Amino acid sequence: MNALIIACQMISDELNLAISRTGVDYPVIWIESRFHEHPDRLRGRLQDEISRISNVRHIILAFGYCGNALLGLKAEDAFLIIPRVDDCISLLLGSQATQRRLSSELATYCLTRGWLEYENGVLSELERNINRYGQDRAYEISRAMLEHYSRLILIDTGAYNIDAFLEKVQRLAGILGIVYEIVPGSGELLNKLLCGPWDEDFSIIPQGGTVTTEHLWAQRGRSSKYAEQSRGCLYSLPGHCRA
Amino acid sequence: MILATNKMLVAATVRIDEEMVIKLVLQSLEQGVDPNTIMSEMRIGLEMVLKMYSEGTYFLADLLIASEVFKQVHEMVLAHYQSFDGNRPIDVVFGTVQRDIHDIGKSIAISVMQSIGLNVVDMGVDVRPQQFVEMIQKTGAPILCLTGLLTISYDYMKATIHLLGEIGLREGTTVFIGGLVNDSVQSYVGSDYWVYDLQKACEMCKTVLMEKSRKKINIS
Repeated sequence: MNALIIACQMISDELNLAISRTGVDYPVIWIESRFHEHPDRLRGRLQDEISRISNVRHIILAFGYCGNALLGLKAEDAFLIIPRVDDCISLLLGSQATQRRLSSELATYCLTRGWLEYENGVLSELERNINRYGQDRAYEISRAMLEHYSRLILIDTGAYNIDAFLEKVQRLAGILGIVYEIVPGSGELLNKLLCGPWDEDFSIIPQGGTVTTEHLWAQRGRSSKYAEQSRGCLYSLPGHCRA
Repeated sequence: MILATNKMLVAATVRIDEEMVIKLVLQSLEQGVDPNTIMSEMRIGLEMVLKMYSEGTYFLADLLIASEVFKQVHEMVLAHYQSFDGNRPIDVVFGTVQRDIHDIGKSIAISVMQSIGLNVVDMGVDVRPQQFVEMIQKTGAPILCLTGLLTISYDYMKATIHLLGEIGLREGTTVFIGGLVNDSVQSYVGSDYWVYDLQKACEMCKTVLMEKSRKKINIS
């Protein structure tokens, strides 16, 4: 087996779309989205999975740094491939730069179907809070949790029907008292993650190596040494991709 | 007087039963229970809620409610005993660094710090390095707490600490970082400590303040 993907359930719509777009046939291990808020537990969960895998040359981690959750991961027998993005929103927007641009315009909270509906998604949590604390208090909690955000963005990743979720985003924006927009996503980074080339947008950790901050943090200045190594050896998977 | 309802207060806090917590606190205050005892029980309860959140039993919303109840009780205790002294020197300057707006953990930490008697200035979110340094200059606070959840926040923690050094205030200021931090982040940003555990953070702040005041006494 050439490669295997470990991915967050939160981006399953988009990753499945990228898989069908590129035609790759790697198996996927989905990690529950509830670990999203708990980097230490997510790290443990990921390491457990990685340690159980053998006879695979590349393990592709479809995650952002997720609060340093990837820090310290190690695969004895496989290369680990990690996108150099703060969180998986950049994977859906096509680049870290796009996410930072949107955030610099207005403090922005990005959503997709996954972020709205999956376990620990914004709307599923809201429903739970209404049941437990009543509607008024639940709305107060939502406003407090997202107090400093000024805009919701629903990313049109092409992986789900945007119209079906627009009403939900409108409702959420109404509760929060902030504006919302629809912004087109891009599958470019996910395509590259699946097919390569694994250039400076990715870190490649060799067999037996440990993920360090130099592999993770996005800013090039922090990792010039590693980036130079990567640039010298653009790495891509052998085999065929349609993308 | 000891707190007769202590186990009940901890249990109600852990259950996030706001109504019961307020009822028990009012009852305790009427009975003349030491405010430190009340806040100590509240801290035990809040710590347990934090633990249950980190284990995934509670959600972020539960943590927020528990923290609000904690704040409410602290205000009730302060109002009852009128012990607040607005002229006390500032112990801690605390804020979320530039380009980051996450502050739920900060707000909880500040509430707990205040409940153990620390005088804390909350600088808010998206605070520029210059603003932090100006506040340290203005207040003479010996402790600076910087927090952030985004990876980019590490750069602004570093910039703040660097600016503190340029102004000549680094030596006299103990810098803590919190949020999603660890040894590597501490080493990158150049802080004195990184903290994850709220109780330990409070104890360390108290130790730092004691050491600094001891040094002052020795110098004078």
